[in-house]
Amino acid sequence: MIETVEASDLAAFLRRSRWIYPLVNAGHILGIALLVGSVIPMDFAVLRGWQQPWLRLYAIVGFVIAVSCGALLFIAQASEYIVNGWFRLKIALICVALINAALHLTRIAPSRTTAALSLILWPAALISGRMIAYS
Amino acid sequence: MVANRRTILTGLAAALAAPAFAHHGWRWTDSGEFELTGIVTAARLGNPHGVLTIDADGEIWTAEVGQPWRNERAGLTDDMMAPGAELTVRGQRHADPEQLIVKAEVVVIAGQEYVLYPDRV
Repeated sequence: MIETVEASDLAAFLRRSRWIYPLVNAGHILGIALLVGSVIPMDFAVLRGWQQPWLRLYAIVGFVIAVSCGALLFIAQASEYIVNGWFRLKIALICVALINAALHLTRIAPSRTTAALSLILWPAALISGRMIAYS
Repeated sequence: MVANRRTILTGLAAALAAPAFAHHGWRWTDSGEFELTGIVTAARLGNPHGVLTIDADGEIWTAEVGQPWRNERAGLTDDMMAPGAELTVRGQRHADPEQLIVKAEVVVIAGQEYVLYPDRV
């Protein structure tokens, strides 16, 4: 499965491209910037008892950009990422952060708790992602 | 207080920047010239980094070569750096002598020089 993805024409194109790969890389950063850059002010707002729901759209758009570009970066060397400890930790943290976001939106959990968790989970995912390049 | 915060931030930046396996730029390398000759045992060429594993008299080294466009500009093809190829890498090695890592500026195959970084040689 992973080998198939890595052997695909798209993955081969990304590995060989001079400009597309770095642009996808930049897109991944842009998505993360939008996502984390809107999640953190939203979390602080919730902790202070304010609401900043207009930021939510930016967070969602950022997430979609980050995941789309991230998927392209992943397939270029899928077999190496899939066994990387930092990569696995990052994906696990993102899953937990998404569950936390769902608990927040459905008001199942107290909003201050989910905001505090979000403030830890998203930056932790960002740091784990950066560490992949240094492992 | 400000000094404390600055110390913490500097320390954090250093910790995050201290790479176990750095790739970009040359800050992580020893500035002296270095040459390594051996047989390629594994090659992973293509974005984000081109990496060769080289057996040099039993020592297993990692040699970082260029991205595809840089290798191509130098006249190198993937076949020339495939496992089994004997080649010499000239460049800079990791500043930590424990790390058997070299970043190539020039690759030499059968006496022919392939220059990856013309500005550096």
